[in-house]
Amino acid sequence: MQKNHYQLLGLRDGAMQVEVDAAHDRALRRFVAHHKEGRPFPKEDFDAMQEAYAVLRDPDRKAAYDHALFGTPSPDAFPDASAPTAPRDALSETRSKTPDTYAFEFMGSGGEYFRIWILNLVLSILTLGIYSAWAKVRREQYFHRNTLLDGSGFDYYGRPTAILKGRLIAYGIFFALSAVDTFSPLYYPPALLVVSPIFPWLLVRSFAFRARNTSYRGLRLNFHSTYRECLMTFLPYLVLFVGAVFLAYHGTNEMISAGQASDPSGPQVLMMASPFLTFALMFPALYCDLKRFQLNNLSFGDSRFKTGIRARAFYGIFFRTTLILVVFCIPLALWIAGNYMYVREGGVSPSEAGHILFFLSTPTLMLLVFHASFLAYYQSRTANFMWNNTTLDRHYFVSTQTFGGLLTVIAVNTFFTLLTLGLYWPWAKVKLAAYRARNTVLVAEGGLDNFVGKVSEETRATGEEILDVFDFDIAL
Amino acid sequence: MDAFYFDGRSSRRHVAHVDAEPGILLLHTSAGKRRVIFSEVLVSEPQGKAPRTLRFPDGDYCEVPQSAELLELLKKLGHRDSTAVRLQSRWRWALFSLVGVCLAVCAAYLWGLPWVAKVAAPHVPIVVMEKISARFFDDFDKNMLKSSGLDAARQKALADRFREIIAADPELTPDRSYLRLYFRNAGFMGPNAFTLPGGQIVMLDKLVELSESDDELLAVLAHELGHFHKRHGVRMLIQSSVVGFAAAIYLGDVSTLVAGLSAAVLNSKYSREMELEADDYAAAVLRREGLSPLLLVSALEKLEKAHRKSVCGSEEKQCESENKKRSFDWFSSHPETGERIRRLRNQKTED
Repeated sequence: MQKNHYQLLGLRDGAMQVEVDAAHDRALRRFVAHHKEGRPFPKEDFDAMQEAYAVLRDPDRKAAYDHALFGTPSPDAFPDASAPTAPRDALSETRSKTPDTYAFEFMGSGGEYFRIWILNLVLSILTLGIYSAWAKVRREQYFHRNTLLDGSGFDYYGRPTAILKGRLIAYGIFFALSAVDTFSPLYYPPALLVVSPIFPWLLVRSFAFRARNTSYRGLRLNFHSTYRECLMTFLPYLVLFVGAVFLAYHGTNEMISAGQASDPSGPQVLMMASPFLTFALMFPALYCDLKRFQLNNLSFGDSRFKTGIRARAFYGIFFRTTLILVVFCIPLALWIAGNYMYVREGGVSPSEAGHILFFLSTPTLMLLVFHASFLAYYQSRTANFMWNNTTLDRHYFVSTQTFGGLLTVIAVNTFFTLLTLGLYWPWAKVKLAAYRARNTVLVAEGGLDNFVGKVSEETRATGEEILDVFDFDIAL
Repeated sequence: MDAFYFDGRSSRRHVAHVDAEPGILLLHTSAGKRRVIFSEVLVSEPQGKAPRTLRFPDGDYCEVPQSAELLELLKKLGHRDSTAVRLQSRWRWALFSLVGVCLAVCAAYLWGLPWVAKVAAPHVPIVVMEKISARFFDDFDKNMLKSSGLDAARQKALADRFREIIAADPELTPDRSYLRLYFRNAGFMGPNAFTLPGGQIVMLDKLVELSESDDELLAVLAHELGHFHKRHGVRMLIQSSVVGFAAAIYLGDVSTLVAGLSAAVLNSKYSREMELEADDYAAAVLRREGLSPLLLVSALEKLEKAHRKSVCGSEEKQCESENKKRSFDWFSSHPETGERIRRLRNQKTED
């Protein structure tokens, strides 16, 4: 037999409003705790709990539900109804202390976004790319406005001219660097070194532009970091990495001068691989610091976001993601080796078209499955970990993405996008946004009415644009 | 109609009511009644079913559900959506746009890009190309190529004749100093000759061994010279970087390998056209020298034979079936040799 709403919250039938609120609060905290520990309850349980609370917190809906359940109003409801004044006040007081949950929802539809996307594309082509800045604003506005929290939408204010200017600067730097690389490659490292001090500035600008151009309920987000702070956060990683590159350079030189190019010794191989090893080892910490930097400097009105994420958990997540890679690589390697032997032994001429197609299709399929699982695993885990450890004043977030759920979304999206040669892309983006919104909840104590803030100044778009120079809204 | 009102300084949501008079938006909130001139109100674009916003000059705004009632109100106030919004709202325009994108991309690939490259190529200073090519050639030469086994006299004889045909074409005079002929040996490349955009022309020993006369080699050199004269290297560089860029945008998320492969397939069409252009140039040079364009035909036939031999193991075996070969034709950078030979023969009869 299915549990009724009271039983779901662990209550006796017809329990009072105050009890319902308290039970829901308890259940929610337990839910969040489990999530933080990495052993979440099934999503269905969470939805059922939310649905039960949605009915029972509303006096009218509760009365109707009780009526359907017991045939008569529940006995406990009587004191409430007969003596409205005193208990009501007590009730509203407890209510303000217990947290309310606000689910994010995404209202967009693939068809609508497809029409925006295709028009953006054609106008961008016709104007030789100039319209792409306006296109970006339309795209961001579509996704911001269709994301609702407690019935109100987010908004995006980025100005196309600012974005266009940013793009021009970004392309300028990009082409100058690649020109140096082409004509005098010797000067490329020094040129990169000369340009590198602007990267922290660009990062700060980028986060600030995005935050300050996003609003909810008329209040904008803001980003507070400084150049100095950004530099201090990320300089250690840069120093480590540059050190590893020097080590590799040194190792290669030593090997060449010793004349053993074809037979490097163990330590030399290690030295040459050090940039890759260093990067792989520091990546989870870097990722964590980037997210901390982004969230801890973010505010909504006068309220600051705070995140307690630690690098250790990211090492766990990325380690398990690497395991997925290994698990997929073994059969792939075996398959390729098997085929290679078959061709070598003269089974089929390697130039035969059908064979080559067959030879390519199986690993391609495996790569796609791998690609989807890889993305689904690391994205769901990092999103859950990040949001479940992030607070805004006394309010906190609950993220309930699951590997299976996200895998389904990504796999279906990838399949149809390939099948339609990319035309499914807008639907895919919408489906992903809807999944993310559906699985994010804000638990706010005392409602969403009490944030205050001031109008923030405008920011230039250069930073954001250089970070996605190739962020065209297409890609199969 | 009912709306939510936000003052822009706090997140508090007030219940409000909006109404319309000609040119004036009436706003009732708990704070009282306000009349706002509608031309000062910023109406957000419709975004599907998302609620819309009416922004007032002071930074406060109303959030209104996208409903028939709102559309009626806006109509009464004389609000008109922008052209882009009207285009976005119709499937018909979306389909037109889709067809337009496809046509534009095809036209750019078939005509636009080759035309741009052809116009731009002569303006790229040859010094620049020289620098890029030299960098590549030095590397390649050092690691992959061996010095030629050809005796010095033969090399000099060929180089002299090569210089003669350069001197005979006045159009080549300004760039003459960049043209250099190299004799090299590289077993893995088979009988071959190639040209770099900076004017380095490389002839491999195997090709020299294969040919019967210096005239035949001259035909091949004239073909390579054609590549330089028509600036094929520069044009290819321009075209392939644009194609590569487009493929990276379109397919970059899937995999770099897929993007690279499709760029290679797309570029092969360009290079096949260039081979034919170089053939035509070679034919003209040969005629000017008082030689027959059929020399190039015989050189091509020998190359084809040698190629078949290396693929099938024996000369006689007709490579299992022609079908198999043809299925890969659209991958290859050179047009089918038979087609090129037919073209050159036809030119001969036209003379």
